[in-house]
Amino acid sequence: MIQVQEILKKTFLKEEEKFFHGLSFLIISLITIHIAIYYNFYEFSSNWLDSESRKTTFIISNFSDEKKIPLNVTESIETFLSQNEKLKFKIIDNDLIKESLGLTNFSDMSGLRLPFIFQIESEDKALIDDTYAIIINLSENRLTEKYSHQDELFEITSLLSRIKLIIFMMSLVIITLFAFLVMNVVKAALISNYKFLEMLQIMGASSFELSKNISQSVVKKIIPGSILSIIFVYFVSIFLIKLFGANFDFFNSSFFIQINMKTLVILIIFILLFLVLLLFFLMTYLFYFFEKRFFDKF
Amino acid sequence: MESIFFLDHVSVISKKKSINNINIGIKRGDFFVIQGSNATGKSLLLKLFYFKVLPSMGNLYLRGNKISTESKKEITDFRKKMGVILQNDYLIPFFSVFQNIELASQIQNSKKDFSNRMSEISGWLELDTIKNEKIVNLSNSQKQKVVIARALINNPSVIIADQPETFLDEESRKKIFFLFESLSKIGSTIIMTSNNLSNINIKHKVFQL
Repeated sequence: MIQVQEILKKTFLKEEEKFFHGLSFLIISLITIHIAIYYNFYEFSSNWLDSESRKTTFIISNFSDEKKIPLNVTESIETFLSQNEKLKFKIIDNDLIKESLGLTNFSDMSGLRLPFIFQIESEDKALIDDTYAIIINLSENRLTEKYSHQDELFEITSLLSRIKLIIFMMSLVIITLFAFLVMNVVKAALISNYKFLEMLQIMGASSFELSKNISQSVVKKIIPGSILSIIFVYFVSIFLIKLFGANFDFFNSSFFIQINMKTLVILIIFILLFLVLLLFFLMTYLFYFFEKRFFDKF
Repeated sequence: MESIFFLDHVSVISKKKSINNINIGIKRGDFFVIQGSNATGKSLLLKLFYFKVLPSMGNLYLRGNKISTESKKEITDFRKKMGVILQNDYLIPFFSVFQNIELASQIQNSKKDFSNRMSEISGWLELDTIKNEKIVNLSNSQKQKVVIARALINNPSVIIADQPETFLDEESRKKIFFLFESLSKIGSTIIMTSNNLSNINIKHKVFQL
């Protein structure tokens, strides 16, 4: 028993099948790579912003006659911080400060006076204020400055939002271009096979049946390229995460596996959604095409 | 009896051809022949009966209902009960004779008695020996027989044929006309263009263009 859809599949875009596979692989890879980058960038940036916004940096400056904050002061501060279970802290040691300032070659004998710097991590503002008051006491009234990272993240947040928007807009542009490209290829095929389609219409095939069957056969031609592109982009995203993700503090192997699995799931959901949307788009376009040509126009 | 088709002062005006002020009523079982010399608009008039064109002026009625651009659903349903034979009609070249005929059955959702009907028609039209042959390998006369078989496979109540005798030899012509006459006698409506009235041996209406 022959099926109408099989006939359409064999008649419609038969010559262009390889071209369609290649084209769909190339363009869907481009689209999905945008989606993967968008998603990973979104995950990384929101994780990073989240962890950074909870941090507060404390800087205790030396008295004018001190080269270094005395050990008893730093030890008492460290003891206080380690005793408080609600606080996570990190002391920035002198070597790290020197390294970040590019002063690694300066010896301890030089006139360089290094402050005592540490970071605490908490969302509780009252706790941070209380800690600040205690630290002033423990520092024996040395100049103590407190910088909440959240206040300084505003510009970075807005920059990251802009980058996300650009990636999203780029993928939208490629999706639109792809949809129009498919539409035009299908239109060319419709016109070249019009006598056959007109015969089906005269036999009593409705515009809906024809548009449904043709769009299904076109989408079926796109599916192999789409599956290949998901696999390709998945491996590319693993590579990109390995390449760029290593700079993040929170990067560890379980997070790496988690984000890769999430990326794969997101890509599969996206491609399913994309193919369903393309199917409806093609069906609408084809329905309009057949309805427009239902009667001969003079 | 109510007319199946009724053309009320119909004119179709196109850039190439026009037909003007046509009044025709066709009832169930009628054998209706449109005659005329070349390029007088016979095929254009026939297009009105399978609703490929709509009148530029006047009204076209199907079973008493006026047909307009809004009647697509009604037309599609009615086309499933029609068998249309056109000049140089399209057959799928890489499909066999059997598959091309089966296609009509699929489109018109009429699978009942398909194999009986198929053997009956292929016997009548001498397609038995070539039913597995691909269309590309057939002669014009064989292709025309396939087109006729495809139109008749679903036992249509209305048969519209544009010069069905084209490419056929004298013996086949006689057979086709005899087949149409038999179908007309059992209630099918035949509307055709032809210049071979001598082959028709049944009461028929002639419309001269």
